[in-house]
Amino acid sequence: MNRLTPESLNTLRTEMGRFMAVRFMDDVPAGQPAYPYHLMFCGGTGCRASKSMEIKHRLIEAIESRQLQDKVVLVETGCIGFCAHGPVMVVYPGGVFYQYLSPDDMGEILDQHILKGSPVDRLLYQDTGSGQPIPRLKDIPFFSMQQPRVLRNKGRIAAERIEEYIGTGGYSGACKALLEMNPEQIIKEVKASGLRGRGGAGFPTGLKWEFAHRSPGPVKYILCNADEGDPGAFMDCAVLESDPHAVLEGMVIAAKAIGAHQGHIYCRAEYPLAVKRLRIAIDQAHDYGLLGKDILGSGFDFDLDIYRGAGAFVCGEETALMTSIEGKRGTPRPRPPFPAIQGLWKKPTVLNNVETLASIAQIVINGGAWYAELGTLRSKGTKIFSVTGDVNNVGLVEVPVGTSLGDIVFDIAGGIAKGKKFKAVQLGGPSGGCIPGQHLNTPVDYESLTQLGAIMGSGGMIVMDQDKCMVDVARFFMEFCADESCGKCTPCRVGTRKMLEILTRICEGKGRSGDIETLEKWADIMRNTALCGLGQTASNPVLSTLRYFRHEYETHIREKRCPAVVCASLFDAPCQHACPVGMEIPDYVALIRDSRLEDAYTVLLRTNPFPSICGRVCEHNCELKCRRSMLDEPLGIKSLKRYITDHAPRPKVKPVPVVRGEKIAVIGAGPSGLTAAKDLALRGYQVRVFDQFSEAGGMLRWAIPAYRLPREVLAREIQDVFDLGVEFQGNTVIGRDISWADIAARYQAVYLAVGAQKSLATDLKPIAGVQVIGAVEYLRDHHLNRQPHTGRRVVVVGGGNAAVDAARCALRLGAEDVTILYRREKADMPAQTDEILAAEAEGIRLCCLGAPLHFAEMDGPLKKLVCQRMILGEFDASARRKPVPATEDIFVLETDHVILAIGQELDLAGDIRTIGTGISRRGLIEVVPGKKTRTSGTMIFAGGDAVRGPDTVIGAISDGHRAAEEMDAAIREKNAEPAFEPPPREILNIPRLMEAQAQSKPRMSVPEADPALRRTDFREVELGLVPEAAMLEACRCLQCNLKDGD
Amino acid sequence: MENSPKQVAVTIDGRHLSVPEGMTILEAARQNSIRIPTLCYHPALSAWGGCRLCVVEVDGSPKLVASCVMPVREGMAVVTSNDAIILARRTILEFLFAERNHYCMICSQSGDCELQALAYELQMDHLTVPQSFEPYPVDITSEYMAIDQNRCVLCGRCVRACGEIAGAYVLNYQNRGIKNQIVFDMNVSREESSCLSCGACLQLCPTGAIFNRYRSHRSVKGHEKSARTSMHDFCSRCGLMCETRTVVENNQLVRIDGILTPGDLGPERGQLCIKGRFEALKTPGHRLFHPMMRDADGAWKEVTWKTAMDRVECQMSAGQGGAFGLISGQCANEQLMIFRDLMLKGWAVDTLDTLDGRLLSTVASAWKGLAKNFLAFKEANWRRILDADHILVAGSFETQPLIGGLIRRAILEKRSTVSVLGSCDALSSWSTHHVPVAPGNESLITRAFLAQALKSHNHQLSSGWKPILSELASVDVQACLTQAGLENNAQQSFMAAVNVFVQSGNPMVIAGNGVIGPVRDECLRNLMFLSLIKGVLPESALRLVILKPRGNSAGALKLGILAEAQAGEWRRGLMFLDDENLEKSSILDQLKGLDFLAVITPYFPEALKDLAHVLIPRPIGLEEDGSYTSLDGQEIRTLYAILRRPKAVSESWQTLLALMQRTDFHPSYARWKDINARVIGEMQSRK
Repeated sequence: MNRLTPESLNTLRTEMGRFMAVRFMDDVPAGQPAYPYHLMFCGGTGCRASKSMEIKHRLIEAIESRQLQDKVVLVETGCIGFCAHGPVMVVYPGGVFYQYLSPDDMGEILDQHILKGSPVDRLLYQDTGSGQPIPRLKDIPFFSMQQPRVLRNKGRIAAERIEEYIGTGGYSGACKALLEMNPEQIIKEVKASGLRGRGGAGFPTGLKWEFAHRSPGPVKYILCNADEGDPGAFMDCAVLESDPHAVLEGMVIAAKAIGAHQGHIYCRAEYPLAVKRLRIAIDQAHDYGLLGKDILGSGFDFDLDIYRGAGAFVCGEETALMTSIEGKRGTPRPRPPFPAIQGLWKKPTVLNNVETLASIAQIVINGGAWYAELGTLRSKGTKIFSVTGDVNNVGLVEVPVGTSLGDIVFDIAGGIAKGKKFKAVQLGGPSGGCIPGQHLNTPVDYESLTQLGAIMGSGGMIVMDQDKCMVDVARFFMEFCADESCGKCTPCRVGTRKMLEILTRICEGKGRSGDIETLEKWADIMRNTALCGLGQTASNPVLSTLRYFRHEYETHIREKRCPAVVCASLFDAPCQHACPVGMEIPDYVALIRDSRLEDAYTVLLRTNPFPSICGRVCEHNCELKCRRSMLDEPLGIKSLKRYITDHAPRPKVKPVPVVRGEKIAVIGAGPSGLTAAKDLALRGYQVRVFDQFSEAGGMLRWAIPAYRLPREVLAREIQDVFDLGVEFQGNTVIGRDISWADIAARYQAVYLAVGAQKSLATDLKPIAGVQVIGAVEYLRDHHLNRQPHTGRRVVVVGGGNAAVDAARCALRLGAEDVTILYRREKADMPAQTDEILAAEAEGIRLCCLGAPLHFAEMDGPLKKLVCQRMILGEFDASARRKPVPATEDIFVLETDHVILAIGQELDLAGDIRTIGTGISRRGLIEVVPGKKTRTSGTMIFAGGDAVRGPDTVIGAISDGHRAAEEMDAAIREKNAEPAFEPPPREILNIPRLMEAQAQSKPRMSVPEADPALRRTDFREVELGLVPEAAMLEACRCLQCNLKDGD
Repeated sequence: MENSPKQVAVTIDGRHLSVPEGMTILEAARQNSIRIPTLCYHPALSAWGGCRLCVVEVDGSPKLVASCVMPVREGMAVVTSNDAIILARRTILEFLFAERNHYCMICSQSGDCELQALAYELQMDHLTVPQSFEPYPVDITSEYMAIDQNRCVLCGRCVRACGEIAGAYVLNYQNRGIKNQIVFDMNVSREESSCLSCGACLQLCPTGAIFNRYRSHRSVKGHEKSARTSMHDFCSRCGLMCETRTVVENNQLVRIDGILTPGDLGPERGQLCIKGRFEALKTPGHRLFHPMMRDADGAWKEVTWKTAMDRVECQMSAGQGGAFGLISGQCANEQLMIFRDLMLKGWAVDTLDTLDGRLLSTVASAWKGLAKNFLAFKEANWRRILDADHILVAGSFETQPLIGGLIRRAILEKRSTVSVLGSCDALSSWSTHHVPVAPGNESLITRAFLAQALKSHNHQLSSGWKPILSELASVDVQACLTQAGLENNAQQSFMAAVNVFVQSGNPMVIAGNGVIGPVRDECLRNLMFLSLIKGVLPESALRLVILKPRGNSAGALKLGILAEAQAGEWRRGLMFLDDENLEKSSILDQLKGLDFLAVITPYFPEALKDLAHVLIPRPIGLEEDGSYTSLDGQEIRTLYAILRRPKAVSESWQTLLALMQRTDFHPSYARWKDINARVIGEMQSRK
């Protein structure tokens, strides 16, 4: 026994403080320090899982073999929060942060860092953007943007030594509360702090204590809820493992405040390390007389023990937790009576979460007002979040309440991993909800989150990228709740199961119309009738995903498609499901492997009339979802497609004689119109395609330059369509050359695929000497051989594919210098990454974070384009930071030619408005809800960019297919005919994967023409795969489409 | 009044009501005839708040509250029914129907099911919630009840009944969520479990999940409603006289329930035991409708009443000695008394006894022993067990299983301590101290217990104790324990048990099976003295409950039907049986090779088919009126016939009286009313 008095506590603190002072030296002092280095080695569960204990032993050996015992103090700390980078270690003085350690690194660290004073560069953290090492912990954004209060001791003290806790001022809060304050004063201070329960519901802690304090009776209890069970939440675990005494001290103070003499910590048994460290902490506190009888000589008695929870999620609910401690089956009890009146063993009881209790000592020491300095109006202090999921920096983050969601996800957690796009954040566990990108600016506090349909919860923050299906996410959480429902009350027990059945059904493609409404109805009933919070909130994930991602549910139900390509029952291979036209990728790849290229070509043509075009210019969504990317890199699907069309004779599609009386007009000879024309011709219709230009091809011909898409390739594929008997009438504008009435009279159905071909203008005032033209117009002029003017120094404004095409075209047409001016960062550019890289290789400059303001005169042929320097501000609806002008920061580009590529719109020439189709606010044609292409005009259908806005070729083709289907179906419905039955397909025997063929080679790169040579002419840049490379690449396919037994 | 709770003003469905503070919304509504549907709620049980069918709207909040657990508050405005509430209730009910197999047409309880009734009430004429359930297990390991999990709605009434009413805590939930299931102990079958078949769960089950195997499918529609009667009476099977409700349909016994209406709940809380609830439903054999005689080849033939009566009269009045009369201790007082008069005064038999041999005489002699030194005392009312802070159990309580439940509840609810002398399996794991006693050592151990208790007792004892003290002074407790073969730790338990007993403020001694009997004469006497050390109860009753073997053993005792010793050889006799099964009875040995044996019995007695000569039918207990005496002999209650007796069978008293008329003895009674009055008079005079 070594009982402490207030005086000896103070002495111990001073003594320990001196020893530990080095750990607070965040700057490296010059020369060798006069005191030992402190190696703060993370012994948290996360790092242990990465075998940190092995490293620790090696480190001890290395220290001993070098006889550095006097120069080095090895400290095993709790979790420091940067779990994804573990095992980690911090070396003081200086706070040098080492990550991804392995046992073999230990000798090097000692030799280099301790003996020579220079950090080991290769083990340091590297900046996500620049790749430069950042040696010091305090400079790493993940740490520098946090404001730890609860976690103030993380990484600075040994978790199993009470003396170190005391050395940082520990137990002085308890000392003050027990000796200098009465319960009313403590409660007043906690109320003043504005601290709200960190377990989830956010009930004001001071108020809770006050109720229990006023509750009469000699026996009361204080309980600590350490039954953290939300998926993705581990902050309580980290607090208990790194700083258990902070919780004990909070409990002592709480006990004094309410008049309890016994406490229990309800800790889940799945946290063995936390339980072990708590045990050690309780024993040490007993030894020092900080627990037990007459604490610190104050006359106050308080003892506590640990109750290990057996893993039931519902036992985190306060009444269930109490029932469980009583030794009964842990089910919730109805309230009232409230625990503050009748809780554990029917005595007044306060239950607080780990994080809440760990905040208390600081509040008592520094005062409630200090605590309330941080936070928002109604939510004070800091909150720990465990940020997990698809972010670069998974870990624990403590920030002031009210920090914006985007700041946490993008600045602290480093944004979305693997360059994917942000989709949503799931907050608050199974009771919480998903918040989509348009709300990234939301301050994370209790009220704002509730408004958005999520909750603060205990602080689990699961970040999800574009590859997450929100129906699947809702299903996951509902499954969790259904499994964890205690079964006591009917709405929760049966309701969660029945909702899960519906969600599962939807994910399996068996959803029915009315399912969404049923989910909403049951969710409402469960919320209003379930016994405890678990059941009342179990439907929150469903409601919040329905609120923001209802279209995903609808797509699953109506189209049996999973837009995120997650719900595996809906598809065989993810690549095929991701393709808007469902190209049979695994099949044609397998045929390449079997050297049956002509068969492979046949497969291509089944779904796509323009495979050679798509083999060159497709956005290849398929590759984004390729499962091979989980191993190394995705399969080069686009280049394999092109390989087939380059190397196989083109199979002839047999024309179908005209058997139908109805005639169909297609307005616009772009990819969408031509696809529809082809499909309709194959269904026996007479189709006529009108276009305002002399030749067919639309944007394929007029916008995409020949170095990407050679003209002969284009011509060949278009000719295929006309070979089927489709008529073409060029140089015709409907409404000018032919009236809409004529069309309506002569054709039974019309497909509007007129595209969005007008560049958006800016308010840039023209100036003499500078040509300003839209990118679409510039490219079109070039392709029409109109020899558009090309300046000497060209500035292209914009960041999409049109901008890059215009820039590269300008270069080839004689510009000396081409600059792309973009208002966001390079990573935000919507243009395809390959295109940007190719443009840069050709010498095109990227000028990011800039926007044109106005022209200014200058002597000579060049004029000044005055630009505004932009900075990234709040997030916009696309979950990207919105560029905002950096005040008075301008720069100048010298130019004589500006090409605007900031967007395109529908060219409403020919007075489309008169024909009865709806026009959206964005100036696009509207389709009828529930249909893909049908408009409100009589038998008028529309698709492609005219409906979507500027979009991809494959999207346009997909619309063409849909339009043909819907037009045919509408005609047949009108005639009361049976639905179209496609002719039987030629059966191709698709070879199966041979083990021996499976390749673990990296992705084959596609050879390109030399940038120095190609930049002056329009030769094709991409050269296509050679047969050997194509075979190797095809063998990389994992053939996800194969099922058991195939 | 000072104690009456404060009244609060609430509004329910627009009605302004004043109800006691602390009452739930549901209770307040019911008290004022406002109907709120419920399922997991039962007034005899603690509120659970699980099914959520009783949800109501409070103060306009969209979140509904369960009225069965929400106390009223001053100024509270409650709406018990509106569209939202009805939709919620309907959905919850549909959830229940969709959760498991509730196809009523193949359910044993169809027509007698609360879930079904709710479906009618809430007009649930079809299911919108898709059904998807796995088959659940059905447990038919019990002779009496079946547990069909497919019909279970997890309301938990059985779980609460098992804990709160039976004090047994055998039933509980297993698994979470949809896998939730009611299990016995740690999920064993009913038969392997510690269940005592009291049937409290069965009575409270609102559906067909736990049902009576003897009477399933009894309540289907088609039975005339008017043919159904139920009578509030009591159970006569062990002397505890538990209140019952007997349900009869078309002159068939449907079931026997405990009384669970609030307000009527005694300390037994409406609990019945296996005997009261199930055994009456069992029939031990074929009913006898006509007198029968066994001819020379041993074949039984129906005969006329006259032939049979003549034969009995002829044999019993032969006067050659060796005559005996045996009557079941289960029979009503009236039957006992006429039988006694017939035997002793009519035929002057040598032996008159109950079927329990000398069990009753040991009780009588123990009372006599006590009376030598002390004033007359009564036995304690068994309901006082729940008041005791310490309970000393000697022997077991198979004859009165309910006592076990009371003791367990005393332990759980009152934190009473319990010591057990001898083997009592049902309690051994519950007892504070357990002293194992080998059969035959009961007297020795109780004597040692009494001696040790007197040594530790510090208070002055009355002069009546002198002879007992001097008798016990020579007892060497240690030697007794050694002689009884108690191991060291058993000896420690013994000493601890004595200490607890002596220090207890309000103990109760229970003398059960195994300590009453011929070779254990002294045992009962020791227990009497022991209980006397701690003084008598206010109603001058000993702190002692003697568990007697039959339902009306106390009546038989009072009417003097007990043989001190067997007088000579039995040659011819008359037996009067109730529905007991004699297959394993030790009495069969004594009945072998008799000259004549006549039996008056409701059922054909298989065990006696080669021993008896004449059988005379009588009605079963529920078919005739009769009075019974309570266990402590203090109360006499009359049970009226609830079933119509078969036309051919005379009432027992008439049969006995008819035999009596053939003797020289002419009793002063001739009608049932007279007999009843006389019995009661006789009983009271013997108090």
